[in-house]
Amino acid sequence: MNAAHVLAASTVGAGAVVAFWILAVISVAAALGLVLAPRAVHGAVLLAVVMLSLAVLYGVAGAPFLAFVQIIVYTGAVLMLFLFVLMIVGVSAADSMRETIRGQRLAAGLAGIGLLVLLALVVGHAAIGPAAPAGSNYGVLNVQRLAQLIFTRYVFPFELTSALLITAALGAMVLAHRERTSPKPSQRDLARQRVRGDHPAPLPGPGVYARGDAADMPALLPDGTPSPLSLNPVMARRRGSAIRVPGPGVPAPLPPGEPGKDGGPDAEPDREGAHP
Amino acid sequence: MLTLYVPILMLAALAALFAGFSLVMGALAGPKRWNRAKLQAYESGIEPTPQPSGGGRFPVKYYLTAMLFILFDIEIIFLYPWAVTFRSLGVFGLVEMVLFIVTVLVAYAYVWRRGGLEWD
Amino acid sequence: MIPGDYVALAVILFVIGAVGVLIRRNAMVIFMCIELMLNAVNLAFVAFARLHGTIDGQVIAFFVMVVAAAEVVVGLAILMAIFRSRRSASVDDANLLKY
Repeated sequence: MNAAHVLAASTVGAGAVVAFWILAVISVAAALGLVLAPRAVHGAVLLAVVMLSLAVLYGVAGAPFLAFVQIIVYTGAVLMLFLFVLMIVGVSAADSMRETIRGQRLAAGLAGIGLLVLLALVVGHAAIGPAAPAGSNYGVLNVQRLAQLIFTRYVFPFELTSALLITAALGAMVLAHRERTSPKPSQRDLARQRVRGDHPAPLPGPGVYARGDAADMPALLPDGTPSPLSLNPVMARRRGSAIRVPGPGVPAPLPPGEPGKDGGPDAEPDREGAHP
Repeated sequence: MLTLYVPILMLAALAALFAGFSLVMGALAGPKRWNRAKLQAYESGIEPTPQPSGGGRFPVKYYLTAMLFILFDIEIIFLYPWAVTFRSLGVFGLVEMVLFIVTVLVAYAYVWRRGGLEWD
Repeated sequence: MIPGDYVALAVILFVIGAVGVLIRRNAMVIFMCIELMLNAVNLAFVAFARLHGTIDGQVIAFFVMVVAAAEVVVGLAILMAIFRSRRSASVDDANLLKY
């Protein structure tokens, strides 16, 4: 603990400077990538890079609690929410990079340069000196000191935060929640529906001949004919699927050497016509 | 105070090493005999759920779950420094934290009542 | 650490975020750029707190993070409501109140 305090109080460690420059380059590059990447998903991942580097920078600057809050709240929760919404909106939707307002990019670039010059002048004039000697506020007592500030001097903002959370919950529920318009079917309803339907028993499962996908081989009925009921109807519609579900009137191609040619009443009228 | 993080850094380096080692060795040492069935997405043996063109989309109900997670995440973040200084804050700290939690529970009750927690 | 360097980095990140808000048309990316600006401001808060040797700046940065999380919840819900009615996440398409 003492050693940690001494280290925290030392003015500029070489490690801190190296870490700053590495992380500064990484975060600026990732931020530029966020602005320039056509796909929003890539932007979200690059934003995660920026946030993680900033978290490490907080740690270097003597704010370990803030570093972990940055990781837990920003990278863990906020960015996850962004990714959820991106998944809802569609991942691969890329922006068209065409300008919709003439000269917008030029104007935005000029405004950005102007803002940069303005802020650089302000910061340059401010004559920001070296860091003050860090007291016990930094180092291992950081969390305790932060807590004492939050729960005494900043107690009003802290309590207001809970009201803010109510607002957030309200907003999300009003904007994103869909009310059920019909009552939820109970187990009794589902069972009744099933018994009254066409198939009280389970549908036949797909075949087990695992030469291709087990799931797209139709099951064979006792007479050897493939059962279209055993296949997922989605699969039959899918492009590139090698298996066609035999329709009711079409003779299905049987796997060679299968039983079904001899014996057993043939269910399909066409086959009966072909083999009297 | 950076020395406090040396164990964490070592753990992170070990984790990265292990992940990289597993991927590289799996690619180098594993036998590869592909066929169509092996290359398909595996969903417990059933036919893989078809994805719409242009990437899959998630139902919107996941969003509410994520939102609730953020709200209670923030609550936990406040609880942690409070727990560290619980003794020195005394009754005052207890009262303000109870007020905070009760207020957040209003949001919880609202979401519950509106059916935001139902999964169907 | 040198607080001046931190503030300079914060300024650069803030300007990048502001330019991103101005040039991108995808509402999601605009929102992410706003988050980038908030992060840059947080970095400046931490740097100035270190400059003065106090931690009030850290408390403010902490509250900024909390408020940003709540803001993201509501903002993304709005974006999603717009997406559900217009099938587009571009800010050019949400123009009913423009004129």
